[in-house]
Order: sequence, then structure tokens, then C-alpha cells
Amino acid sequence: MGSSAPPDGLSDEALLAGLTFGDAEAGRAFIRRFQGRVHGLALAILRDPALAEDIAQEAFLRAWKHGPSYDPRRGTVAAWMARITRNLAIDALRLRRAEVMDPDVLAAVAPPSAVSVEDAALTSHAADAVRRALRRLPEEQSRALLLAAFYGRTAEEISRSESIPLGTAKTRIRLGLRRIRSLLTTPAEEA
Amino acid sequence: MDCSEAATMLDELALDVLPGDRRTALLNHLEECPGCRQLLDELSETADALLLAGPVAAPPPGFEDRVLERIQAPRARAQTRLRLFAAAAAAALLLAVGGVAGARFGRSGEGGDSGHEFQTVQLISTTGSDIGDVSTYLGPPAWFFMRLDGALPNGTYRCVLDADDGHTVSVGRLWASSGHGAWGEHVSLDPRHVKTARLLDSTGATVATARLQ
Repeated sequence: MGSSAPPDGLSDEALLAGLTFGDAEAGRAFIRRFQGRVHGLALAILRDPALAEDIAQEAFLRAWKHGPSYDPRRGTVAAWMARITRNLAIDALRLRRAEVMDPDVLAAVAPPSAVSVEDAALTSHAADAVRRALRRLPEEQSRALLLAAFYGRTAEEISRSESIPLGTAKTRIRLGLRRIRSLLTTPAEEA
Repeated sequence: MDCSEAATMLDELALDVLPGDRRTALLNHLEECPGCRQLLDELSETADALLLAGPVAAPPPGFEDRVLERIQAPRARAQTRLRLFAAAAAAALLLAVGGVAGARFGRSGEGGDSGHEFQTVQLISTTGSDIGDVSTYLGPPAWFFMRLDGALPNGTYRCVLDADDGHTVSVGRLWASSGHGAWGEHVSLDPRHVKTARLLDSTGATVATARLQ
């Protein structure tokens, strides 16, 4: 397809349907729409450009193969793609037995701004609100929460890597997620 | 397990980091507890928001072509199979019912009653030309996808579905450009109860019809 506007103007669900049913134009538009998010997430988790591209490609293949199983009641297409990407990246990390070395998890996965002007349009108000909320958490809570959310670390794994009791790791994850939820659902508190 | 115990694990389930043994126990509780399911939905929404706040980074040049190349080979095989199947079924149906061309096929390992059935039917213009197709997937969730590959004037067309109980639902819009266009969406209608899918022009006149029954 070309670069004509109509397919790009379709909803996320319509493009996913097109990808799934083999429409080349819709498939290309779907990839264009989500490639920045998918690749960015893979790169943030893996810190390896070559591997991140492989994982991003695989995420789109999964979307193509499993498109019919997407259920809008369980979240948006963007969230579905993010979960696919995250899980693939975590599997790749585990295959490499890689550890999360960078102590500043927050800076890696939730930077204060988009990495390029080109992709600035993809950084939504909602994402900015999440980043602001994360910065309002105690550092140990945001770190535990992000290790779980982005790197798939269980409470047991966080307990070991952070040298804290298991109960403390679970509490940090729980309090962190609920505090974020509270901050996102009560904007006045966020101000 | 009671709700207070479940509440200590819901966050880890929402973040998809709850180990298998506790996960099973929690899922059993959730089956019977709408309150905890509601809380899980809210926490899952927050977990999704976290992932979506991750960084955006454009992939290297040529990325979309490389993805499409990887999709193309298996898709070409699948489409060849579909076309062969559709052609045979269409020929049989044309003889049987006169003018309705269609094909039903299931994914490997899934029979017609599995609830995951695909159906592809030709989209026929008012002048009798084959100008595209309509694909449905039973789901759940159910999908409809309409593809235009013929000579309709550029513009926006309304997609409507006619249910077998007589009511018509407007489900989306398709933009035709140089004869091509596509639309697709989840719909709440069961495809088995949709009689026809139609494209309407800006005046509301039907310009193409796909007969699904």
C-alpha cells in the first residue's frame, strides 16, 4: 500500500484485523503504528539493539498469528502488543541468563521524554501521567514495581536480588502498583 | 482462599509474575468472586499503563519490510490453500444455490463446531462484479473484516451488517482509494446470525453485498 492515508486512519483493531486476515496494506500500517513502542520496549528491557530488533519482529509475527485471540475486553491493542513484546523480551533475557545490571531501572524503562522527535506523537498524556506517578513513589517501591512489570521478576527473585525479605518484596510491589493506580485515577492527588 | 488472602496476590497476577502454584489457587478463587475479578481488572489496567509508559524508539530502517517478508511466506501458503478451498467451495455453492460464492474453513485441528471458524465470502457489486471479500471469525471475540479490491469511486463507504432477525447494524467505515480499501473490527454480533454484509455510499445506497448465509 502505499503511503496513502486511509489505512493509517483505521482503528487499531481494524488494522489488527487486516494484518490477521492477510491485508498487506493494513499489515504495513499496523507495523508502522506500533513499531516505535514495540521496539522501544524491547530495547529498554534487553539493552541489545540487534536482539531488540529480533524480538520486535517476533512480536509482530505473534500478533499476525494470534490476532483472532485478541480480546478487547482484556485491554487495548497497544497493551496487548506491549505484553507480547515484554514476555518475548523476558524469555530472551532468561535464555541468556542475563541480569538487570543497571541500578536505575526507572530511567531505563520510563524515561522523562520520548527518545526522538519523530516518535513524540506516540508519547501520550497517559504515559506522561504514569511517569509522573512513578516519580512520586518511594524509590524502593518504584524499583520493585518496575522490575516486576518490565523484567518479569517475581517477588522471590526481587527478594534475592535486592537482599530483602520476601514479604518486603511483595509489599513493595503491591503498594507500588496500588499507589500508581490511585494517582492515575485521582488526578487531583497527582497535582 | 478468602478475599483478604487473594488481595495479597492480585497485584503479582496483574503484573504476570505470580508463580504457578499460587496462581492456580488464586484463579480458582477468582472464578467465584466478582469483587476480586473487578479489582484484578483495575490492577491489570494499571499494569498495562506502566508498560505503555515505556520508551518509544524507532527501529532501524527497513524494519517493516523485514517483518512483512517474514509474514509473507507462510501467509502466501495459507492464502493459496484458502483460494483453492474457496474456489472449490464457491463452484459447488454456485451450482447449489445459484450466485452465492463462499467458503468455510477451519484452522488446523479445529472443526466446524469449535467456535473458531473462519468464513470468507465474495463481495459483489450491484452490477454483479466481484470487488472484494468479507471474512468473519467466530471467536469469541467475533471479527469482521471487509476488503475492497475493485473499482468503486474514491470515498468513504459505510459497512453494515444485516442480522437474520431483521435488524441492521452500522459497524464502521471503509475508505476506498484507487479501488482499494479495508475495514475490520470486533463486533458483538454472532457471525452465524449475520445474513449479509453491505457497503453503502454517502447517499445510503447499497453498492456491494456479501451473503454470509
